[in-house]
Amino acid sequence: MLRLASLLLLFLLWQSASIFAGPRVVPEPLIVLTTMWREIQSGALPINFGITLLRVAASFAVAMVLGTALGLVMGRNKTVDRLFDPWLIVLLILPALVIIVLAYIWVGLTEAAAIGAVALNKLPITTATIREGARALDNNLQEMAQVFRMSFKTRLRHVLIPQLTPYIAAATRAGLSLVWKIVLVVELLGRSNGVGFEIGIAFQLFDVALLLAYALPFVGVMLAIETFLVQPIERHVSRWRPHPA
Amino acid sequence: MSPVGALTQLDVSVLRKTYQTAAGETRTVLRDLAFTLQAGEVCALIGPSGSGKTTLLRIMAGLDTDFEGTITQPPHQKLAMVFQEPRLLPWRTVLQNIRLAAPQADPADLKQITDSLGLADHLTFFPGELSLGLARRVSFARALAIKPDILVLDEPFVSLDNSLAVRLRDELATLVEARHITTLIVTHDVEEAIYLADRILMLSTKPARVIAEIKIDKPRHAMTEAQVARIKGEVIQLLTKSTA
Repeated sequence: MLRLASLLLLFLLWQSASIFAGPRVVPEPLIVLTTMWREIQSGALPINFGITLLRVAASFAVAMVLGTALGLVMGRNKTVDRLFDPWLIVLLILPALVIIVLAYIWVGLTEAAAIGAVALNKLPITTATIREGARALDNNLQEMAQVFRMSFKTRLRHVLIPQLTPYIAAATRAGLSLVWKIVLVVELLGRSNGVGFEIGIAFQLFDVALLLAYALPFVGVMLAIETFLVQPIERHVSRWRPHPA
Repeated sequence: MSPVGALTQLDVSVLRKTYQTAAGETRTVLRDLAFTLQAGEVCALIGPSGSGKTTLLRIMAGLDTDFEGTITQPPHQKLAMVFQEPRLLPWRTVLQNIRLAAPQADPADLKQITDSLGLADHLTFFPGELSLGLARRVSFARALAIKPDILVLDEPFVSLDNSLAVRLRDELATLVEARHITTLIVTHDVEEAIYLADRILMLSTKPARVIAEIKIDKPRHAMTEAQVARIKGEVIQLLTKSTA
């Protein structure tokens, strides 16, 4: 209920801002909606939207899988941790823009460069989060698995991953919002389609309504993914907890 | 059932096991500790606390390989361990916990084990919903489910109330006997050792070695209270002599 009121308030603020600042700078909600409808009907919005979502999914998947694997190894092995820790810090500090531009220069203006650049931006954060989880692993359970000679697959699925679940969930949450932000920048700089590319055009035309027409649906989709995908999965995997945190 | 013969015995010979303290000193935990377990035998290991009993079990289970000496067991023998704490996966049900350790177990055999340990009504529970006594039973069931040739138990009845400990001890003794499992149980409870074991090995204080051995010839059902008391007196006398 309070959430709804909060959204309504935001809507009212937007409407009044549009009155004060003029429709060119802040177009009113209805105009944004008509622009959105026009873009949907022409097919441009669904196509660009789909392409961007695919890029988000691909780079997110790459960053999560590699980041989790690296984080696990670094959390369990001191030598590997010392070896890669400086790299991790460099990657963490390096601005997203630098990584993106370098990727485009070195690899070329390709899809692989775009997805790789986004993944590389997300990777160190995933690794650092999972590493914390790997350090906190319960050694007693590890020994139990060893004594009972559980297979690697069993250990991974039933001993390791369940312990890492809170860390994976945290990395997912932080990751989704970060990845989609960076994907737009990548598209703006070196792709000829996608939401980021369209926003670039809107910027050149100074068309705020078009810009918002592309940005807002994406916010909605990300919100839906968090509410209908991430949260239910998290509830399912933590069903064994007697008192959910 | 394991075949009888020289091949089925387990030889433990630890020449030296040391560890480094935080201050950098080297402490010797075990020295010249040697004994042999015969197939199907139940052996109890008792000794003062901190004498390295858990260290010895960890070496036998292959969890600690940093020691001088040898553990010789016949090839293809399965060892199961019951840890001091139940060590169950909290995110898996009781049945899944047993199954994951023993994926090849026969369902009928599993049912027999869980039934005889009184777990039939708790198979779908998560470990967080179990009392300590029940969780211990699950860890027994898990160890038995892999059909071990050798079973090592690290003070499995500690911090249970007395009547529960006695009941659990009976159940365990029955299962181990019926399945002819070579068993080594670490305990500090002399009565428990007398009741369960065919043989009691007594360890000295650190560095631990075997200082005495008592054979218990009478089957445990036939033992009178007076006999238990006599053996108990003998054991306590030996123990106090070693610590004095």
